[in-house]
Amino acid sequence: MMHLPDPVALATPFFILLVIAEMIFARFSGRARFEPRDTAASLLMGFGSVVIGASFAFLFLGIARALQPFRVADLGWSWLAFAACFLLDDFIYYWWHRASHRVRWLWADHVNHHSSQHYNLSTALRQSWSGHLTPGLFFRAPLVLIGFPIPMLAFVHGLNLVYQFWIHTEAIGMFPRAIEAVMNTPSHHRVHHATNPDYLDSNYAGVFIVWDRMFGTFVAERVEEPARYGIVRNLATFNVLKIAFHEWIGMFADLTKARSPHEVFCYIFAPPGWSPDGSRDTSDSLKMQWVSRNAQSQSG
Amino acid sequence: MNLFYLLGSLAGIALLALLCVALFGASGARIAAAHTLEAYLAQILPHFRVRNIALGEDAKAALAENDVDGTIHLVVAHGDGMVARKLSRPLLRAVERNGAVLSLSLADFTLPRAALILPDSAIAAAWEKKLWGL
Repeated sequence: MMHLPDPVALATPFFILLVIAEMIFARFSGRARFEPRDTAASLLMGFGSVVIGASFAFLFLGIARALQPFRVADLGWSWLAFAACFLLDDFIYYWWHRASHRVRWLWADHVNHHSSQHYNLSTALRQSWSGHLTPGLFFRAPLVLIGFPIPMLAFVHGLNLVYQFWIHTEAIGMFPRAIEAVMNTPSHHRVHHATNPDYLDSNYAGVFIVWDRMFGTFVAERVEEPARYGIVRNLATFNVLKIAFHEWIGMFADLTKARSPHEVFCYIFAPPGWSPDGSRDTSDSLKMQWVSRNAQSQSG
Repeated sequence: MNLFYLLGSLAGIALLALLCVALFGASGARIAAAHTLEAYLAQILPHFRVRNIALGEDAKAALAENDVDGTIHLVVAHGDGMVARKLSRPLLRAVERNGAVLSLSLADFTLPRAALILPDSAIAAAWEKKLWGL
């Protein structure tokens, strides 16, 4: 079996150097913002994610190996196979990421990455600690069943994550139109991290923004609408344990109050913010409120 | 996992945090002016027009009443930014007043308590009454 390096492990020293470079650039240009406790929390979240991820790697590997005998082909190690694997992995990432914003169970894990009110390279490292509590691998199962080798899947997924690091910055404006049309860029991903109602639930891409363009979730960044980062209900803590588990605790607290199987189902699978009486805001309700406000201000 | 790498990583994180303090300072946000608070709430709420505002004397917290729907919002300084909560009965567990100081207990995992040092006890009492009326 071919041995491939872990792209994320190889890239980590460069991640750190680039965070330092961006800090210095931000200090003297004012084109990015850092807050020491926020940065420390993001870095600790990244550290915890690596440690917990390594501890549970056997689980993912075990499931992938269990699925492998049922593959329909052996696609081997050709360059074409690598390219196809990278493309399909990015396609699956898009759907996994989209589901992670629209299903509360998955959001409980992914919200951590969005929990900073800052958007800089340290935010890229603010990763979740609870991926093993979500069905992430089952989204990737088709790639195993198609017949891509497991080390190839791990390698291309690592490349995908490495690509996504550098787009977490305000230091870079926009690229030429041809690049912005195809690739996920800092501009597109700023929109994804924004809480402005018209930016919510958009730009889920990992590497290729074409998936958002194809499936109707693309929103372009507008100069007149600067992104406000974070989550709709921002956290008032830098405690990494609270950051890592706040939404899980919120979800379980809601489940204890559920009065019917329908409510149990919706507290787990409905979009974040769902409540039986509609008293909480979801991204859809926020968008509708802003549409109504804009309509009022235009008519008035 | 290698203990040396783990400890080295934590030391590296501490160094990066110190570099961040050296470059950007460690002082937090201040909610010292009504217009700052109004601008913030107008940005994050679809419908907001200020009716009343109470700024904490330490510039760490404030209350704002929305003229559009009568809702009251707690805003606290957090890092170099702010965090807001719309106060309602399930969220607001208790309000206590000690002279000009209002202490709020919230059913919020990341914001369980907030204290406002208001200019005088009459203002604090007026806001306490409004909060109990929610």
